[in-house]
Amino acid sequence: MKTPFKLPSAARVRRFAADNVVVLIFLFVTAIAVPSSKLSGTYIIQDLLTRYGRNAFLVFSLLLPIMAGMGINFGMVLGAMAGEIGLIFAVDQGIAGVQGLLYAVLVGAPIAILLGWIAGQVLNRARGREMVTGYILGFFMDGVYQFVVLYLMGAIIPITSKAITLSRGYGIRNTLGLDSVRQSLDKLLKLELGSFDLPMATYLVIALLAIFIVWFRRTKLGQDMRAIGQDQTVSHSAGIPVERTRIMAIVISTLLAMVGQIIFLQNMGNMATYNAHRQTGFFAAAAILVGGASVAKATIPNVLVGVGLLHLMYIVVPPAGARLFGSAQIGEYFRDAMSYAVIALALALHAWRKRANAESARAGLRGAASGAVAPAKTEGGAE
Amino acid sequence: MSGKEVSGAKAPRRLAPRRAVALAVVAAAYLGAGAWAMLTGKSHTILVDNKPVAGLEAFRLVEVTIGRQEPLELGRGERDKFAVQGQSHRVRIDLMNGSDPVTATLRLPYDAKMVLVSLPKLVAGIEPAWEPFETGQDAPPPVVDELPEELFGAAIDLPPPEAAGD
Amino acid sequence: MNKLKTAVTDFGWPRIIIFFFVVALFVAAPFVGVRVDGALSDVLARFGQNGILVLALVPMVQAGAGLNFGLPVGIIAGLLGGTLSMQFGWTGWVGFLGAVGVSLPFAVLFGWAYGLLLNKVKGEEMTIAMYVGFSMVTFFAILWLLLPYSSPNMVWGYSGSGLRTTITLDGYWTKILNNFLAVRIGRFFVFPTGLLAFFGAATGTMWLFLRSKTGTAMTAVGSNPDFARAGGVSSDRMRLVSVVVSTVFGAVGILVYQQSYGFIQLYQAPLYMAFPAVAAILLGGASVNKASMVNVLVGTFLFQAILTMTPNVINSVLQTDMSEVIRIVISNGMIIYALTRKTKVSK
Repeated sequence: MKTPFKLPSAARVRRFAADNVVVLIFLFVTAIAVPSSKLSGTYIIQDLLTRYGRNAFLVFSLLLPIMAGMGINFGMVLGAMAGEIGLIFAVDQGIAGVQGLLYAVLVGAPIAILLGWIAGQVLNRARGREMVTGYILGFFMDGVYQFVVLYLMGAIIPITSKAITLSRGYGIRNTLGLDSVRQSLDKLLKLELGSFDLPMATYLVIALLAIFIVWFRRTKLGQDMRAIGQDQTVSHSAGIPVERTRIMAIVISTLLAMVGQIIFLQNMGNMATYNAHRQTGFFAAAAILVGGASVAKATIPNVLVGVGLLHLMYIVVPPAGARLFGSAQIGEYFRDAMSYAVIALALALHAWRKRANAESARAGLRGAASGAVAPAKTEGGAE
Repeated sequence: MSGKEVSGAKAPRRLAPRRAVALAVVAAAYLGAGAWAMLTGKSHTILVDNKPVAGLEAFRLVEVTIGRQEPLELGRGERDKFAVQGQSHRVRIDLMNGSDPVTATLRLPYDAKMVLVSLPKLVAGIEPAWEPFETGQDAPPPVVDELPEELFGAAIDLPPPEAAGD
Repeated sequence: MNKLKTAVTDFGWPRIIIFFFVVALFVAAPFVGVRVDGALSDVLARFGQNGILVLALVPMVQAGAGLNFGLPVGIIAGLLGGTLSMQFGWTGWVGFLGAVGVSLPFAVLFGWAYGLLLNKVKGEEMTIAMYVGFSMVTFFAILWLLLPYSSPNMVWGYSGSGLRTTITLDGYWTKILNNFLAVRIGRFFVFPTGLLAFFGAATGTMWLFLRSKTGTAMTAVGSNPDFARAGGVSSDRMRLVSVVVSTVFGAVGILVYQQSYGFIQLYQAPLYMAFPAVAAILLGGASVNKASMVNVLVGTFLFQAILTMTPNVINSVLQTDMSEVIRIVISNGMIIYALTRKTKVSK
C-alpha cells in the first residue's frame, strides 16, 4: 500500500472494518480472553515464539494454491502424510538429529510429489469446487495412508525396528516416539534472549521459505500462477498451460506441507501415527484466514499475523474459560468453535463479495460500483 | 497447451540440455544429501566396558570420553553407555594414574545398532576392541497395542459404549 | 451393445464395481461362516436407521444448493429435541414423538438462518456448509455443558450439571420404531416393520413434496435457474425452502437413528455425520445436482450392506480388520468421484 497517511474518514474506517471483519472479531475475543486467562506475559510470549517455529511453515504451504486461484488447499494433509511416512523411516533406520529430519524430508519428497500430482489431477477435474474436493481427498488418502502404514509396513514394506511395530508383527504403533529427532532443528541454533528461548534455525528455515516465495512470484511459473488466479480463460488464450500450472501449484504446496509437518512433529517430539495429520489443514486454513487472507488473496504478512493471532487464542482461551465458566473444557470447545466459525465466515464473506461483484457487473454499473468493491478482486498479493 | 508448443518451438535444442543438467544437479543433490544424512546421522549405542577380558586386567578407575561428549567415570567392572551418531569416533581414555590419556579411533559398521567396547582391549591396542551387542529386546514390549480411532466418529459401528458414567 | 455401454458410463464404473463387491460379499458370506439371514437383518435395521439422514440431502441437491455437508445443523436440532424430551421426562411413544415435535421449530429456525447464509454464497455452498456444520457442532458442545439440564439420567453425576457425552435411551424410547410390529423369522432374522414403515412414510412424504407445486418449482430452480426466473419463481425463496426441509429431515433423521442405536451422542459425535450420508446417496447414483428417491433407497442399502458385511466377511478371509480402511476409501472415493464428474461446472 503506497497510499500516503491520511486521517481516516468514516467511510474509510467502515471499509477497513468490512475488509478485516474476521481479524477484528478475532482480535476482540482474544483481547477479552488475555486478561481473564491470568497467564503471565512472559509465558504467553514464550509459547507464541515456540508455536511460530512449529506452525508457520505449514501455513506458508497454503500460499501458492491461493495465488493460482484454487482456494485453500485442504489437500495439504496429503503432504503431511508424506512427511509422517518420512519420519517413520527416519526413526526406523535410527537416523538421528537434523540428519534424521533431512532423511525424512528426502524420503517424503517423492511421496509428496506423487500425491501432489494426483491431487492436482483430481482438482483439475473439480474446477469451481476445489476446496471441498481437496478436503474429501484428504479423507480418502487418510484411508490409503492407514492401509499402507497399518497393514503394509512390516508386512510388505520392510520395517526393521520391533520397537515401532505392533506386537502382531506388522503395522506401526499408534504413537511413534520421535526421541531421536526431537527438537533437533529447534536446538540447532538456540538463542537465549533474556528469559526467552528462540529456535533460530527453525526461524531461519521459515525465513528462507518466505524469501523463496517472494522470489517464486517473479519467476515465469509464479507469474503464470498469478495470471491463472486472475482469469483462467484469458490465461489459456494467452498461451499459459493452465492445467499444468495448477498441478505445479498443488505439487509445491504438498511438498512444503510435507516439510512443514516434519518441522511441526520434531517440535512436538512424538507423533500420533494415525491422527497427526487430521487437523493440519484445519489449523493452517484457520491461521491464514485469521491473518486477513481471503480465498483469492494471501500474502506473507497474512501468514505471520494469522499464526500469531490464532495461537494467541489457542493459548489464552482454555485458561480464560476455566476462570470465567469454571471449565477449561468450555474454553477448548470455544476455541474450536471460533476457528471453525472463522473459516466459515471468511469463506462466506469472500463468496458474498464475489457474487456482489458479479451482480453489480451484470447490472451494468461498471463505473462506480466495481471501484467500490475492488478489494475483493483477485490479486496474487502485493510485492 | 498452445503456449507450451510456442515456447518449445522457439528453442527446443537449447532448453533440453539445460533441463538435463538441472535434473542431474537435483539428482546429485538428492543422493548427496541422502548419503550425508544416512552416514552422519545414523545412531549407534556404544557400551563402554571396564571388565577383565582375554587375560587383560580391568582398570581401577578410568575416565572415558567419546568425541565432545561429557566424560564418564568407570570403576573396576563397571559398564556405561554413549549414544553417538556416525561411524567413526575418537575415544579418549584417562587411566587416572598420572600417565598420558590414551586415544584411539573406533570405526563401527553402518548397521551396528549397539556395540560393546572393551576398554582394556582398546588400551592394549587389540583389534577389534568391540563386538556387536544383542539385547534380545530392543524395546520394552508394548503394554497395550493401540489401534487407530475411527474417522467418521463413533457413529457408525462401534459397539455402544457403556452409558458413560461419571 | 452400445446402449449398454452408455448405460454403464452413465451409472459410473465405481458404482458398478461396488455393487458387485456387495453381491460378492453376500455370496461369500456362507462360505466363511457368516449367517446371511443374520447379516441381512442387520443391514435392514441399519438401512432404516440411516435412511432419513440420507433422504434429507435430496431437496438441496434438487434445488441446486449442492450436497448438504451442513447436515449437522439439522442433527443439532434433533439432539435438542431429544434431550429436551428426556428432560421433560417423556417416555415411550410420547417421548419419541415429543422429541420430534420439539425439534421441529428448532430445525425450521436453524434451517432458515442457514438457508439465508447459503443464499448469499451461491456457488461456494459445499465448503461453507461443511464449516457451518462444524462450527454449529462445536458451538453446541459449549451449550451442552452450560444449558440448565437437570435430569439425573443425562447430566454428569459428580457435578450435577452439563450433559454426558453419551446418554442411554433405555427407559425412554430405545428401539421403539425397530420393535414396533417387528416380525421375527427364525433365530437370526428380524424384520423391523415399524422402522421401515417410518422410513417409507418419510420417503413418501419427500416424494409427494417434490411433486407438489413448491417441489417442482424447487427442482426447476435447481436444473435451470434462468428459466425458473423467467417463469416468475424466486430462486432464493425456493432454495431457502429446500434448506429448511433438508434441516427438518436431518433433525427427524437423527432421532430415528438414535432410537435404533439406543444412545444420544453429543459433543463432537455429530461432527462428521454428514459424510456417510453423502457417500450413501452418491453411491445410489445421485450426482451433485440431481437426486431421487431411488438413489436414496439403493444408496443407503448398498452403503449399509458394505458397512455390515465387510467387517464380517473380509475379516474372516484376511484374518485382519480391514473394514475401516475399506469404508474410508469407498465412501470418500465415491464423494470425490461425484465431485469430479463433469457437470455444469464452467471451464
